[in-house]
Formats: sequence, C-alpha cells, structure tokens
Amino acid sequence: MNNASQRLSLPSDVTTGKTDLMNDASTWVVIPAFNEAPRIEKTLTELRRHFSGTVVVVDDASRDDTVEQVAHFPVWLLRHPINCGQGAALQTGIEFALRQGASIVVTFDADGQHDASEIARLIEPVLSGEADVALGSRFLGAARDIPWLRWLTLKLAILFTRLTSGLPLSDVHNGYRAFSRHAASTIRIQQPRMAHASEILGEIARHGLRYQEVPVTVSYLEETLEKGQTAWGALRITGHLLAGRIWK
Amino acid sequence: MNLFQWLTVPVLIAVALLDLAICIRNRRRLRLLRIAVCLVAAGLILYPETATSIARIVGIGRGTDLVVYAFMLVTSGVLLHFYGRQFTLRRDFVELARREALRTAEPGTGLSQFRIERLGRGNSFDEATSSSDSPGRSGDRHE
Repeated sequence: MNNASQRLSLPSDVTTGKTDLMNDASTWVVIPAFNEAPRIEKTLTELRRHFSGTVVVVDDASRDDTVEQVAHFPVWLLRHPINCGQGAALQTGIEFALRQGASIVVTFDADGQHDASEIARLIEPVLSGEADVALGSRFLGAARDIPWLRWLTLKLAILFTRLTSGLPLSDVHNGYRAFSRHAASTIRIQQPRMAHASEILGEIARHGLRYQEVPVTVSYLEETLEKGQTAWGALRITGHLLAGRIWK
Repeated sequence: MNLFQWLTVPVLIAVALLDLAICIRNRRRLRLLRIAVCLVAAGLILYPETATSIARIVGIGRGTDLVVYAFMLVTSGVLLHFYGRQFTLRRDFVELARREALRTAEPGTGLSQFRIERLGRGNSFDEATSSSDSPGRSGDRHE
C-alpha cells in the first residue's frame, strides 16, 4: 500500500445529479471483487466521477492483482483470506459500512456493468424515505447486448422469485441496490455465493421491508458474460437456497 | 454359524454396544441410528432367510434386493447428512474470513486524508489493529 501522504488527483469534471447525502461520508458503496484486475480500475475511476461518498472494495481472495489496482484509489479495502463468494463479500462490506456509521449502503458490481451516474436516481427512494430498499431493474431501464439465453434465465428467475417470495419484481438478479441503514442491518446475507441475490429478496419479503424498483442500465461485455449467471448456475442457486432452508 | 457370521456378527454387536453406551451418556441421535443399522445387519447375517421373508411382505421379491435398496437409502441419508455438515461448516469459514477482513481493513491511497478524518471515531477495526496506528497509516496485514 502506498504511503498515505501521496494524494490521488481526483477528476474535476464531476457530473451533476448528486445529492448532499451522496457527498456525505454516510453514503457508502460496497463493491465485491474477485479477479477483476482488467476492469476494476475503470470501474473505480467512473465511480469516482459520479460519487464522492465512501467506497469499500471487498476483495474475495483474488488471484490476480485486483488488490494492487484498488490500492491506488481513495477507497477502503477489505480482503477475505479465502475465497468465500460474492454474497459473503457483500455482507462483509455492508457490515463494515454499518460499523462506520453508513446511513445508506449501495451495492455495486466491480466489472463495470453498472452505470455509476445512476447512483443518485437509485438512492432517491431511500433518501426520501419512500422505501427501505431500492432495487435496480435492467428490464425497467436498459439491458445492453444481453444474450438471449441470459435473458431467458433471468425471466425464469423472476418467475421463481414470485413463487417463493411473492415479490412481483421485474429484475431479481441485479447487483445494483441501495439499502437504508435499517434494511442493511436487518438483512443478513448467509448465502455466500450467487444465491445471495434471491436470499436478499426473500429477506425483504420476510421482514416486510418497503422496496421500490428503479430503472438502471446494465451493460454486457464479452469478458463479463463469462462471469455472469448461466442456466446451470441457476439450478445450483436453487439447490443452495433449499440447503439454506434445511441447514440453518 | 458359518465363518462369515462368526467374523462379522460379534464385531457388529460390539460396535452397537459401544455406541449404545456413548449414546446413553450423550444422547446422540445419529449413534442410535448407527446402533440400529448394526443390529439389523447382525440379524440379517445370522438369519439371512429373514431378508427374503421381509422382502416378500413388502412386495420387493428377493432378500438381496431388499438389502440393496436399504443400503441405497441409508447411503443417501448419510450423504445428505455430510452435505449438510459441509454446508454449515462453510458458513463458519466465511464468518472467520469476514472477521479477518474486518480486522485488517486498509485505507487506499488518498483516502486517509479526508475519509478517516471525516469518520473521526474510534472503530472496532482501529482497536483491533496496532494502537500506534495514526490516520493515514496503512494497516499491517497479518499473514
């Protein structure tokens, strides 16, 4: 890690659309990262252009130089000593943010799929008190270059979520979310891997948290498609969710 | 009794008695199941025609088929049990990894100048790391 006396020159062309709470240290963005060295620098640079709140990156035992890349940015870095999964990394980051007094916690993907300029719109329902949780929806917004099989898998996931949690959502596997402090404290992510997305929705339903969907943009890049959800992965998620209910 | 019965039945009964003693002391349900399996196995080895009688009663046909089906069911149950153990064990590992990550949180370049100062409070991670840490100092990682 570099000496803290070295200053990082932040971009001066910060866009409009920020609220006071976005500039305040009490709004946190949590980014789980695993082997994101090719993309993390661009993601954090873009994030810093639109958001000057506090950012925490949780490295999930990456085997590339993700950590070295992150070290150059004015963000908090937490490191899992072993690979635990995206869900576990999210919970770690959320817990850290809460301990530091976060009022709003935003979850954000490290691979650049999310548009940082939409953070202000995403947290608006939580800021105004209309909702405890704001859930990004690519199907209300835009899903750029989404493969048809991924589209079908996500649509089936929507059906599955409606049957299991009763939530009538348009997008159930979007990592772009905003939680109030109350919601972040109430929800406990125990599914360490990809089933956490469904688990979060189940927790929202179980605790009766107020939620609102917000249109967001998700951009699909060829390199990120390999890391995304597959049909086989969807079956595994179902198995993990079932196991989570049996072995509490 | 034939040689196979002499070799296996005493062993099974001994294991069952040992488990029964521990089970009575510690109230272990899994051991009760193991005792039952040992005793049933010992009984079927001593009286093999019993398996055939039971198989006919339940409509399976042959005693060996009954034994195979029972073995598959018991094995499936054991595998499910160990999967559950692995599932909960993994959860414990994640919790340990989380504690380590929270304990060794590091500020990135430039963060210390304004974020730590704005936070400006005693945090659990500060207390967990060296007491000589000053704002801006990168936390030492404990390998």
